[in-house]
Amino acid sequence: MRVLLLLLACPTQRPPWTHDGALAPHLARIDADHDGRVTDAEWARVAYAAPPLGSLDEDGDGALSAAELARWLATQDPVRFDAPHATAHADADSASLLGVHARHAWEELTTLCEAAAARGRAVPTPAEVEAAVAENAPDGPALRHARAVLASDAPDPLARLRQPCDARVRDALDAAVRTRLGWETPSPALEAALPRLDATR
Amino acid sequence: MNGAIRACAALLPWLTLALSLAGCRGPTAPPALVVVVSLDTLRADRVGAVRDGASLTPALDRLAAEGIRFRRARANANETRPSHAVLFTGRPASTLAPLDAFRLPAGTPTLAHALGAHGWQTAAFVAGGHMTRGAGLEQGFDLWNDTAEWGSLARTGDAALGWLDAQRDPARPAFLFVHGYDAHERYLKPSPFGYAFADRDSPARVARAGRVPGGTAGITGGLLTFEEGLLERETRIRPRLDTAHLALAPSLAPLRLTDADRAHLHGLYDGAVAWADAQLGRLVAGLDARGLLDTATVIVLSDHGEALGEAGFAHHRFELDETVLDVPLIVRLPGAEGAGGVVDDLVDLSDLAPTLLARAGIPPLAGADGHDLGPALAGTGRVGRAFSIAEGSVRQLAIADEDGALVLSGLSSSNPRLPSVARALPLDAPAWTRTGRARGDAEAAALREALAAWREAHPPAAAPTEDAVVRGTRGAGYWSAGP
Repeated sequence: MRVLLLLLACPTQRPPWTHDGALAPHLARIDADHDGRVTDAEWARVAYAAPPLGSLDEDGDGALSAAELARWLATQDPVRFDAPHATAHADADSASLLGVHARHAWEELTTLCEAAAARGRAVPTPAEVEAAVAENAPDGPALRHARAVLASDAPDPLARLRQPCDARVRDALDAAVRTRLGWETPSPALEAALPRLDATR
Repeated sequence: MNGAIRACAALLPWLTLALSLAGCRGPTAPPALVVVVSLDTLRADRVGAVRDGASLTPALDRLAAEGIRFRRARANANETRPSHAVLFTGRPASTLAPLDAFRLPAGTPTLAHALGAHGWQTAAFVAGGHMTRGAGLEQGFDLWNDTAEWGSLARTGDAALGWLDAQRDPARPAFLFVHGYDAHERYLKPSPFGYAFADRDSPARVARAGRVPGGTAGITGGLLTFEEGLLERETRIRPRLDTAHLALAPSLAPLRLTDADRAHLHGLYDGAVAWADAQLGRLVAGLDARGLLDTATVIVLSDHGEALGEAGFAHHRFELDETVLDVPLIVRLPGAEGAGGVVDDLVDLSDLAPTLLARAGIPPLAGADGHDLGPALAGTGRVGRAFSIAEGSVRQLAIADEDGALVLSGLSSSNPRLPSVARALPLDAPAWTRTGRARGDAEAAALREALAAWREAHPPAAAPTEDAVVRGTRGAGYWSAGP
């Protein structure tokens, strides 16, 4: 019994779990030269939608500590942290989301628009669009949609592309394909969504 | 003296176990606290995986070192709702509700119900999405906080710690469930995690899409991989329908992931895993700072894994293989009892509710058929699970023993004809996928019989009427790979 009490009275020998400790191993990973300091250049290698190290380096020692990283991460939305960074110009409804049609079309169209802009034009020519169609997925939904929008002579094709392509349409598309394969029983909600889905495809 | 120490050391696990039981009111033992953390979509093979010379998951590694790790833990479903329903009830998902559009029926006895009926406080902090109130999973909890829409453990963990500070009744035992989508699509996370293992400037086709908000969600759940999954599914298990997708969806051109695409997806996913691990570390640190860690039972698990193109699929909806079903399960007992222990027995998530109720001295839930892992945790006995069943919403059903697995594709697990069709279906039919020991005909036949018998013993909740199932599956190529 004496030994048992001794065992129970033994203090825990383990080191404490800490917030900084949770981040330190991950911070160490980007310390490429293993000098124990994450410098501006090392941070820049992995930084995306993030400020330069100087903005995070609260103590001005030229390195990013786990505590400094923790404080900055606490200000970040873990899911939509880069919404303003990546698609602010395409996300006209500020939902911070782009549907799958819109994303594909936006990517293709962004490329085309950038190419057109480099040639001093606001929108791609029909021939450029057709060339992209041939090069990528012939008659794919994204490019079909892009073609339709461009053919309408819209003044702002990127904004137009976003309109019918929200998450509900994407989900309905997934469900519709599965249903048509007989994988799932159609639900009343899906049945109701199909006409809208077909209209957007 | 050495003998006395050895004897007392042998008694210590039993003493700790006794002190952690619900209702224990010893002079120094606090009321039990059980914290279950569900890291949605975390693959088992990522725990302790080394990337760039260091582990992806230092917090999980440490928790395993201070706890007991189940090395062969499997999920019972490949989607969030049914998997958590199994976790909370110990019952097969399809016996509760059809897997498509799964909702846990009202009135289903749950772990939270049973604990609450015995005086426990119960609270859940979940990250919305599939876990949002209305799916039925909230049944029995005193508090179901689902405000973090498709959110992170960074938010739900902090909220859970806040509940411990402000709302927990220190005089009562408590069950705290915390959930986060940190490893779920969308994989891209804030720096330095997002591109820790993926090249921002990769030429991979999916790289640009991954930088769009919702991008990796689209990659894994949207058209890109859905088309690929569709194509490969059709050609692999439906040879007689290998042109069906063209007829059904002529505008969906087949897109196949390249090696560069797959590598990029793996890199993004591993960044999400590292992020999830850091958030778990923050939560455990919060428990430790409150002096709760060494008196609590902390359990970390995942509801399912994730396919990353290994068999032609991404996401977790389309497969029932090891990428999707092998999940982490780590139990840190009060006082770090059994620290560093590893259990190699086959277990699955249906075992959690029976285990926690047995530890609390509460009778098992009606209909639950999971195993009590108590003896395995104490190192005094084997789990004794002969096989584990997993169900998929895309017409798949899997059975696995400790050395192999058999997957039946093409029939809903709720189909009333499943047992007879499974028994009649030749083992070399394309509808079967066999891995490990199940590649042997005798072993596969034994698993097939076990699968059919299991279905007969566990009838589905709502069986669809499909009179033409045999004719349909025969015509669709499930019965032979020939023309």
